[in-house]
Amino acid sequence: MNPRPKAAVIVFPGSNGDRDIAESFERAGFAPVYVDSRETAPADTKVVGVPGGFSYGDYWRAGMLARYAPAMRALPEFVAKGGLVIGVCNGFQILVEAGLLPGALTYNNPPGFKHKWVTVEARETKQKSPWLTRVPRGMKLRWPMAHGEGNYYHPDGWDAIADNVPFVYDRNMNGSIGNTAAMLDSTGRVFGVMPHPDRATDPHIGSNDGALIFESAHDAVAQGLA
Amino acid sequence: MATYKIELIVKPKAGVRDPQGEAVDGAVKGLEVKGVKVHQVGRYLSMDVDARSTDEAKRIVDDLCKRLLVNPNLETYTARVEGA
Repeated sequence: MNPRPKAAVIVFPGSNGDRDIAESFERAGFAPVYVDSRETAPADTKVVGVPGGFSYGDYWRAGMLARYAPAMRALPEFVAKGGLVIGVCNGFQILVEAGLLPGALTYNNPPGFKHKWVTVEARETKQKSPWLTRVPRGMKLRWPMAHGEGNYYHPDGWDAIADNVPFVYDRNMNGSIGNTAAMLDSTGRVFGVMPHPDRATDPHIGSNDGALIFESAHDAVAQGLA
Repeated sequence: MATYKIELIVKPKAGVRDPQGEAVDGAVKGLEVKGVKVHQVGRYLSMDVDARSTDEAKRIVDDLCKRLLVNPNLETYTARVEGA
């Protein structure tokens, strides 16, 4: 029997969702390892999780100070070689700041930290994503959100990103253009999401809808696609 | 080589919503102070930069802004070089 594929969870000073992602990876069949942001993920890592929280206290601009951590600097090459990356909440902000995903995330509009269960709807994207093979278009999923800077912005507007948006909120939660809740890169291997699929992988605490994301990634790795 | 004192101000770009500015403006209005309108909320950074000239100091700051301190999608900046 093949050993469980390795999933690295990067831990920054101020991360608080690292365990949520690690446990979600584990439930999906991965062997999660925590990687200090000052180090780099082990060579046999198949997927990387960039967790939620308040890396570096969100000082200056959320995600800005985390982007140059050694673990982050290694990600472009990891993705180029076929690796999969998920960034949730602050992890999404970090991926955007690092230039691995387009656009920007800024202060919620109307202002304030917002935490509640939300419904997102899956959309067709131009590039198929290994993170989403178990999520058919039109599927509605319930995930919790918890953020103050989840307002997705792109200077060229909705048309510039529509092909890469795999999930939208069922109504505008934070000012995001087009109700954008998530984003893919041009390869489909980098997936950033503002609400928390990693906090919806246990039916006993409200929803198991997030498990589909991590199971999709596990399918891809098991099939040798990542 | 000289040390230049730099003051950097980063603020929301024109056309980008500024919920922080709007929230502070709302708080000022809540104080029932008449005749005040808050325009924008941004960030301030002071630093020393070693360089051979004012122009070189500015170039170093511009590079830092581009690579780290300013998100061009959302923000614009002005850098003041003391003594320049």
